[in-house]
Amino acid sequence: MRSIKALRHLPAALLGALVALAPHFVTAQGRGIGAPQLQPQGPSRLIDVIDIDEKESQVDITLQFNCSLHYAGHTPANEGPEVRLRLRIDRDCGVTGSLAAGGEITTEIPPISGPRGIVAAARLESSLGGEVTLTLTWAKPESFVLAQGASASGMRIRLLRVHEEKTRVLVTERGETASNYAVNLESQRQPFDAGAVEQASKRLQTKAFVSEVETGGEKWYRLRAGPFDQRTVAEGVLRTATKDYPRAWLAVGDDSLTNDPNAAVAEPPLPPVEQMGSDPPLDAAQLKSLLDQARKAMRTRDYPQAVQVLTKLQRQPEFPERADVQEMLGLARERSGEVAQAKAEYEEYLRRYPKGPAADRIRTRLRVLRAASVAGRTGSFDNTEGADHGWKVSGGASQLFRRDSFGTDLNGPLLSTVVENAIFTDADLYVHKDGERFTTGFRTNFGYAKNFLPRDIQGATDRVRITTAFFDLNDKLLDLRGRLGRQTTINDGNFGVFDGAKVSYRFAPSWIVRATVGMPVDNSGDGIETDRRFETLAVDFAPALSHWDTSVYVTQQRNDGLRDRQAVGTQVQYARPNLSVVSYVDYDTAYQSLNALVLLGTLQLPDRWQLTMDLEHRNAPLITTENALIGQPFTTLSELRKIYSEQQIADLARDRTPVLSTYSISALKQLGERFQAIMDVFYTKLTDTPPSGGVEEFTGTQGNDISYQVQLLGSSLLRTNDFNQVIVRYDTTPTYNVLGWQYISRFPVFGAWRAGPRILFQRKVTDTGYTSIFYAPYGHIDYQRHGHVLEIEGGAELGKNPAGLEIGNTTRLFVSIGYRINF
Amino acid sequence: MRNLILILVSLSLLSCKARPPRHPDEFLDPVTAAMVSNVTSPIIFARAHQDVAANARQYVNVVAASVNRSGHYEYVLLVYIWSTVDARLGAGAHPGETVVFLADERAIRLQRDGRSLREVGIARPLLPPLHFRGSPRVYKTDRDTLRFIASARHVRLQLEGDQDARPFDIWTDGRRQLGTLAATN
Repeated sequence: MRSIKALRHLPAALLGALVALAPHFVTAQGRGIGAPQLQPQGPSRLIDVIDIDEKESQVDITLQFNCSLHYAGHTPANEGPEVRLRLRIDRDCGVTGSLAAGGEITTEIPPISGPRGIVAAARLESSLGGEVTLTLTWAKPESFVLAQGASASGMRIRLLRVHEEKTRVLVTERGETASNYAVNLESQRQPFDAGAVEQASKRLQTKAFVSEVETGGEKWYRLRAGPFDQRTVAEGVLRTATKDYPRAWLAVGDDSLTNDPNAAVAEPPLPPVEQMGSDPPLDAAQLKSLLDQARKAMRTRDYPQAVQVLTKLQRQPEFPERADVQEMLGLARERSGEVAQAKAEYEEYLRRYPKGPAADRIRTRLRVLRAASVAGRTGSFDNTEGADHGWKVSGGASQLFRRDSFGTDLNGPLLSTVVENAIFTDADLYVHKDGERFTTGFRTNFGYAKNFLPRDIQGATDRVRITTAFFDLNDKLLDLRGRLGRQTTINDGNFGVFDGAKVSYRFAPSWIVRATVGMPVDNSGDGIETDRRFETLAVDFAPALSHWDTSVYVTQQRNDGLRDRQAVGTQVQYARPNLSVVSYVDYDTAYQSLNALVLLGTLQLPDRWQLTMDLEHRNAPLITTENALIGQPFTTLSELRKIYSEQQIADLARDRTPVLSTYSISALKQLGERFQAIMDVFYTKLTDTPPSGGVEEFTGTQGNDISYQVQLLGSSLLRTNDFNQVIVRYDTTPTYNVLGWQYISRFPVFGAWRAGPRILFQRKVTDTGYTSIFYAPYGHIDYQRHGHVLEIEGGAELGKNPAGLEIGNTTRLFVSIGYRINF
Repeated sequence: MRNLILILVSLSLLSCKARPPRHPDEFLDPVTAAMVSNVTSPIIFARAHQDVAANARQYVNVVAASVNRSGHYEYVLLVYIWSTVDARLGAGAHPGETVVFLADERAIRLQRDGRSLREVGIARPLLPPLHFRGSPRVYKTDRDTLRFIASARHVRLQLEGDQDARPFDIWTDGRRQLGTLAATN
């Protein structure tokens, strides 16, 4: 959808070149290395915005492209301080010339929209094989899953924010400061039986006991002798014990029987709790009614009311939900600030239901409350008391200047033309208030591209974009969230920028329903466009404590009164530490066409091997009725309807939609602490499209395109924190072969400055016997501190082509200077 | 020819035989005049162990040493915290002074020793990572603790006070060398 719009809006001359060269772009191949088709054009970028949406347990990062960029791989797989995404440029990106040489893509600093402190920096640069590499640097190491959905106009990266518990180190070894000792005889993950305890007691002629501890997330049982008041006594027992218990060790104040730092806090006697059965029993209906009242009071945070009702229930004789009541009562008192009563209620729970379903978490809460008592001496343990619920404003601004010239000596001396000369100014504003119940926010991201090329060049105009401008309201109590305004999406079967509304509601703990209505816009510089409208309904299901989640959607879109798209789709993602799988399916029910079938999986193997497989089969672009406009001299479907019937338009849309199949497999091996090697094999096939409606035949890949790539990465080799990467790649197609290598580096210079020289070399041999050579040195330096970034880059791309290609030797020179400041 | 192949195969098989860990390195420190023994290779812990794809990673090298001053033995762990992550992200900042070894069921918490390396009796850093600048952190311990860590089935390490609460997993296992040091010194 979006890519077709982009095609329609290209300058006619450029479009002509695209139609002629389309197969080559898709297969990362130009007519020649350093081809001279490059013409002056207006300011443009491949990435429109990087949009960040922070939720409670995850962060969704939407990469919104200005054209179709096909996912081609990424490293690291799912965890690390940054992610490097490889993207293949499709024909609608308007980049003419030598994609195979990796040229003509100038470095970009994409605009970032959303909360600060998640993405520290973003950078896009050209790479081998007509690909670009987008590097996103996180503010701190993150776990993530990603895959491209049904459309190549965007991608989503999900950062997994599993609620980080406090360090689970519950055992301390406090040296001489503790007053009680024990001898740890044995430890195991299963409980000790009474015989083992008795035997230990007999052997050592002292008391023995079993304690429990949670270490590193695992529960352990400890068979111990003691406790002892004096270290010398404990050491004597230890010496004796080592004969029968070779792994025995001296424990110093590390459990509740010795000197648990949590249990040992001197506390005043806890207040009494209500006695069970002190009230006459109520019937089941009354109990249920009271329970409902209590739960409602908890939901609405009416804790005094909750305490009152729960206390009534507490006085009842035992009934099935009484354990829940006991826990809720403790929770209600805790949240009311009645810490002593909360502790008493929790202890009552443990006394009465020691193996109850909530026993473990109640023990944890008790520990936290005790620790809070201690921490209170030096400061508040609970930050929520002092949380700032006022309005917060954050944002950023960036500017990027690019100047790009291209020349060829085809007609004699080198003749150079400035093809881009522009300043991109972008701004981002995020205003939000995080209240007790409501989170309210407004976010906008906009930009202005000032063109310095002569105005008589077609397309060389100044451009304004407003990618996002929406209000966001989140009711945490009802789990209801709404957005209104201009926003970006790549979810639920909608792709791109639209004006509209989105509402989501969590109707059960694991279920969310989401409805979206909107009007897509061709590009973010347009105003509201009412000719197209879509409606979408989606349901998410994410079972608690599971490793997978799924989403199902139905969507339909109308364009100029015609059905543009009608599709159903699903996404499933599964993530475990050693395996992650993401799958997308999108099916158009009107055209009965499989729009996208994507399966991306990563598997960790022994010996630090990692295997990644990406299988994609998709319509490129996504099939919509609007595809019928490709190659036509019209810009709207209503104009097309004057000539063709609806059925004919549908047939034209089918004819203009080729199928792209890409399969890749990647193996990665970590070598020591500083090196890793990556080996990739890619397979690409794009089908032809027939001539119809006055549009010529589109030739696909003319066979199978296969690429082989080997990368070697090394860090901290010459200096601390330097980064070095060598890539060797071989592309083979029915009409040409390309061999290339690239060296990329980044190393600290001084302070917050880094330098990053790169060099690229490619040699291409066509089946007609022509050999072209391309080499490109780049220089880069950047400064990054406190989220502020300054980047300067310059480079040259030099192509040597045989006379038979009628291209001449080409020279491209470019420079870019950019900065970004955050507030 | 057949004999030659047999000999080569035999030699290959012999070379596969597990070799015992080398005896700890021992030297008389020329500056402090202490007799220092240290493991022949460190235990290297790494964060995000499950993701081998992350070329940028944080590491903790732990080098155990014993210092013999006139028959008085002292055991220390030299801890080098280093990273291949761009330092501008602050990934190398670890304000906490305490390390916790999660060895099986034990959480062995060690407080940083306030003494300098030279005060401990070691004039120069032992087995530092490439490009590591400055001195390692010094943690005083005892032989039993070293023995316990060396024989533990599962060892992880945490930096207390670190913004990132994830533990470090073993990347390069030097527990055999540690066990040898604890057994022979």
